[in-house]
Amino acid sequence: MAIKLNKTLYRTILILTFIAVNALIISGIGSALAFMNTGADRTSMLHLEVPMEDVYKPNLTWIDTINPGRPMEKQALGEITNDYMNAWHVRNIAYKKNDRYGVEDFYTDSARVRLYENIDLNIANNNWYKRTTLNHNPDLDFYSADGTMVVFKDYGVEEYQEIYEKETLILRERDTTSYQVMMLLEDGFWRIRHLKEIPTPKDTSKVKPRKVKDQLAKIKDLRGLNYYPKDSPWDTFGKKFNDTIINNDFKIVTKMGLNTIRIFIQYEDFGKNKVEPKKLELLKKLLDKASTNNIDVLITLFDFYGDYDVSNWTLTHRHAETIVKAIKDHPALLGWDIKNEPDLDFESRGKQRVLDWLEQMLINIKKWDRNHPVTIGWSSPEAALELSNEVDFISYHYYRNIANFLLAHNKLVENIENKPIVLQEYGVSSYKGLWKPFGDNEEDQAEFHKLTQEIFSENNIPFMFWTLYDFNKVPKEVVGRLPWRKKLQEHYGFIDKKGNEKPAFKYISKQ
Amino acid sequence: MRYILISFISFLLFSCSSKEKQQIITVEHPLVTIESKKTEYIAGDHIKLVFKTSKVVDLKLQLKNAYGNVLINPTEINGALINFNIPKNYSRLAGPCHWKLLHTGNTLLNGTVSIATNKTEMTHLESYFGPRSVTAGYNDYSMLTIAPTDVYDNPLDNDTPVTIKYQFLENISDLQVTTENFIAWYNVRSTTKSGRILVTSECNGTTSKELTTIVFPSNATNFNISASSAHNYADGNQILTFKSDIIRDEFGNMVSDGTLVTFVIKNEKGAHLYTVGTTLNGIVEARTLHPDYPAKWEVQAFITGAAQSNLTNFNFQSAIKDYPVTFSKGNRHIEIGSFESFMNQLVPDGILVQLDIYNKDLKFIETKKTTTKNGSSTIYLGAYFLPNGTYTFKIKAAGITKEYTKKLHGN
Repeated sequence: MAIKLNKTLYRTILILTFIAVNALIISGIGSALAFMNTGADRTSMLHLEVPMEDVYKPNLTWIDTINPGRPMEKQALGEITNDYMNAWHVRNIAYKKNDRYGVEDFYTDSARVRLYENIDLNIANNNWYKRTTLNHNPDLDFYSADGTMVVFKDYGVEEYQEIYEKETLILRERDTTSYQVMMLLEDGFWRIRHLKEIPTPKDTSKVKPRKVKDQLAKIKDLRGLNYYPKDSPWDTFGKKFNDTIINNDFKIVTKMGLNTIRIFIQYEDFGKNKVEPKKLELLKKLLDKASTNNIDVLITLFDFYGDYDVSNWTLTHRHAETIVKAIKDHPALLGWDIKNEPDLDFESRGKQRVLDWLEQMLINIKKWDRNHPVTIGWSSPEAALELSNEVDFISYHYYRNIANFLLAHNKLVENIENKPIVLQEYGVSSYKGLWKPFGDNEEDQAEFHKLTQEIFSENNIPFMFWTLYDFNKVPKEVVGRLPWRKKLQEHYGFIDKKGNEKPAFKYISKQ
Repeated sequence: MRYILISFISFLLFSCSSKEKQQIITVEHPLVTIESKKTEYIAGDHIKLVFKTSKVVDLKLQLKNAYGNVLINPTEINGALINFNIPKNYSRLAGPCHWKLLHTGNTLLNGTVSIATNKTEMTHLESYFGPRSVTAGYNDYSMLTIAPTDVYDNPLDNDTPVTIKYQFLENISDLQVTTENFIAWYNVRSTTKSGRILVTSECNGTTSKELTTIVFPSNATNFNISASSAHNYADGNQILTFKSDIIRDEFGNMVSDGTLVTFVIKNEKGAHLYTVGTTLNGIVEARTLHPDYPAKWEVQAFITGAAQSNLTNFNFQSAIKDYPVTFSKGNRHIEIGSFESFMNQLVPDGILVQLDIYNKDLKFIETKKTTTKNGSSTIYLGAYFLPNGTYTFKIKAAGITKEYTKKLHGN
């Protein structure tokens, strides 16, 4: 018996090894062939302009291009701007990785040596830098008659950098510097020949003071909900966008006696740094409907974004800038929520990295829109203390035991001086079933909302509950793949999957 | 056993617990003052920053200039005095060099050292000249840009004088300009005479290399042409040559070699013929073949978009006065010729002969074309092509038309 078993075992092992060896050989030959077929494209000899994906998009505005040399052409100006930005980008990357890669494309022989010497010093000292620039205001001084040399001043370059020694952050700094730059056209590349720091002229332009009082006054009486359409949760502006449905939903919202909704804009869905005009159109349509129904809208930006790395700050800035500047004058706009629950990314991305990104974004949005308040949708009242000086009103979410709510809320109130505090998300799922046999049912949910409404009206707490509808499908990006989480998330609504009002409905609409 | 198990489990639990929160360490910063009072340096100077500290701790100095940052450690600690030597690539770059004295990530002191360009040592010159060719006249120019730098490749300050010299033919001019925005520049204007302009420049005793721009002649002006040939007989063999006088631009410069000239010939029927030539030393020559029938040609030459010539005429007289035509083999074999030219010599091969065939009602049937060989040509009209009957034949050659009406028979 034992011998027979052994024999079968050996046979199986032999056959399996044979198959495995064959598979290895075939995949080896395959990858060798694939390797042979790759290589430099012949056209690369021609030094043609390589289409590059956008990697670095700080705000850049030419002050003017008047110069005594030669009138500046639009085409040339575009190429100069592009290569100048590339020069900053490769330099940032070079200092981050302490690697010379790409520097020779955008710095002439004698200029690149300076960068190399710096890199060598940093390697010797074990230092590296995360850097980015946020703002450039070039002003042309000279463009030569044969179009191969350009000199310009770049005023008010806002720089941000983090200095690391090995893995330790030594220093973070923001500063504003001005440069004078000479670039030469060589082999189809505009390369930096000279770079010299010059004094930054005093900014005499008058910035309009911010006017957020009116909007902030609304927040005290805010009664609202987090809104997704029934059939397209986490995809408001997707293929199923239908403004009639949205209009009907808004009528329900008004009927419930609410005055505000919170919506979400997803970073990738809206086209990252190149915001799609079509999506903006849809956003405007939604805001128009809200406006006709007298509903204020709090817009949450950067949903499903979670990188925060300094190297793509500028891309997120362009994303926000396009949206903010397009929407800022809309009457339905209440304010900007920069990010939903960023504190949940503290662990995976590093707290400082997330906070730095948020802080810069707050500065930016305050600059682009002078009339609407900004906030951050923290996931807990404890986290809401972060950046509380920078935001105009505090927002936090509460899904823990309601019995402890007031305690946590009041603790937050004690630590915040004179800023409205909004309970931006709360709620309870009415799912009771296979995955959560002892969960709350619809009656429990109704009880919960009855209780919370009492608490809010007693303590004057502005609230936004989660959410209007029960959803049929929750994308895996929201709560993951686990069915007990998904099921729970599907049943937070006030209207069930069939469109019937749940018992909780009456406790909101009564007031 | 149980204890081992429990301790093992508890070990597992502890090792899985999340990282402990970092304890906040309160740091006492030392009192630091800067000892070095000098803040103005010249590029290439040895720069040493000395600080006096109340307590010897781990201090670092951050330096920042236009090209980047570096974090350096003290080179020497002398009791309470801490010395930092600024690395060469920072002390050699003109412009402000910002420093920050750091202790555990906090800035204790900061300041700026300003470094001026080095005027005492040798100056380097980079000069650029372009475009490298211009056209003669009053509009065009080449721009000379000079970017002088000091020995450490720092662009010189504004208002540094630069001498520019340029030579054309016997004239050598020099003038002085000053730098602004890293560069000095001068537009070297084109001359009315074609030739070469050489330029050079000089700054603080350093001279640049020699640079050149070529002044090409400007656009051509109107010119004259003439036509000539060995004879004026229309023999379809001789070559007619067109030649211009010297073509010049408005300043009297011969146009550039290789200027393309198109000759347009208009014959008495209003048809146009073309031939082209390119200039050499201002003169263009173009050739074409004589026609094989008498003609009157009007010839004019053009330089597209720039100039045109006079109109010249050339008349061809007929070389062939007459030719015989013989019919044989039931009138189906037609021999045309021999053709004899103006000295009764046989004409060269290739004179066009055309036969138009009409039926007896003078309705057109067909055209046959052939060319002469050894002075004559033959056409055979097979029965498969023309059935027996009466036909009219018109023969055209060398501008002479002959008409016959013949009855075809046999095969």
